[in-house]
Amino acid sequence: MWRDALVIEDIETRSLWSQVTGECISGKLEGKSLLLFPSSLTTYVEFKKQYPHGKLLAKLDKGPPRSPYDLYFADDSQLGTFGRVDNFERLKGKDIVFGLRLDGKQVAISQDYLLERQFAVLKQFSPPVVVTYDAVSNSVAAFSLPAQLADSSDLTLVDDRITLNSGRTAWNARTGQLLSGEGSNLASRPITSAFWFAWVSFFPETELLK
Amino acid sequence: MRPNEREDQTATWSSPMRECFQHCYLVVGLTAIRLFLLAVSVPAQWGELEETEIHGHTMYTVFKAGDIPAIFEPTFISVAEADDYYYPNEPLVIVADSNEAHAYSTWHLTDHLVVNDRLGGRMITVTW
Repeated sequence: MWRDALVIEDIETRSLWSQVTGECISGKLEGKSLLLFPSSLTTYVEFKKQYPHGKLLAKLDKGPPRSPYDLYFADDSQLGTFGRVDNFERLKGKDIVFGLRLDGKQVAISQDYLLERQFAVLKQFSPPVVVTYDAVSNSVAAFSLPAQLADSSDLTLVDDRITLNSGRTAWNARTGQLLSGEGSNLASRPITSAFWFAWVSFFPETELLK
Repeated sequence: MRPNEREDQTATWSSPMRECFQHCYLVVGLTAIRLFLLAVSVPAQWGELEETEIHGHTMYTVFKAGDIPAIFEPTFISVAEADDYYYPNEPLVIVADSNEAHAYSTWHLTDHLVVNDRLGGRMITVTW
């Protein structure tokens, strides 16, 4: 564990890599970085709906219907590595945020913010990034808007669709697929779900929407 | 041996890493940062942890290579087959391109932490 996050080792060079940043922190490839690949969070029932032809990682059996870390997640007093104290500002240490790192900037959005709004347009990035959230499935995804839509003021979320021009143009809010109107699919952007204490540890200057 | 495991497994990436940094993608899409919980409650039988200073921060070596089996050659099932293995509310990491989508249960990934996979011909590493 390094800075309260996982360290990964590659077999060939035995270099060590930060799970959070993708940077090689020690070893032959120190200073090199992996590229962050866009991903999203959702549930199995939602995945079946959005990706009926998708594939799921095989496992031996169904297993118990819970995470083995449920107790840890529920205990606000347990933070970080070996007794870190919750003296964080702006949010409580165990609050959940969804973070993006683009263009040299870091922006975190609190889960409470998205629970209330389900939608955020981040104009700090160029082109702007739209973040969508579904409270039922705890699904979160981020997409870059086409440059020509950067100044659009009627972008909104309606029934799991990102809509524009009073609904004449719409995209699937989970996959970014173009559903109606002119244009193309929205490009996914990497978004990380994290505890606030871990995110701000790596990115102390992060902007925060809460 | 469980599916998606091999005998020389370690929680690492597969080779060749020298080229990989240019071509490998890291998926940190999920609450991967939550995983440090493994270090929060260190069992007494683990004894003293090895500490190493890296860039001004201490790295704690909690597990030795091989303690947590990474997945190197993942196998997948279809949505049609998955009802017997997945709960409706089971949280998933999703990676997708225009042609395919892969999903990984975070409950399942807890036992492996790292999956070395390919999507659209690109090597990716999914971590949780």
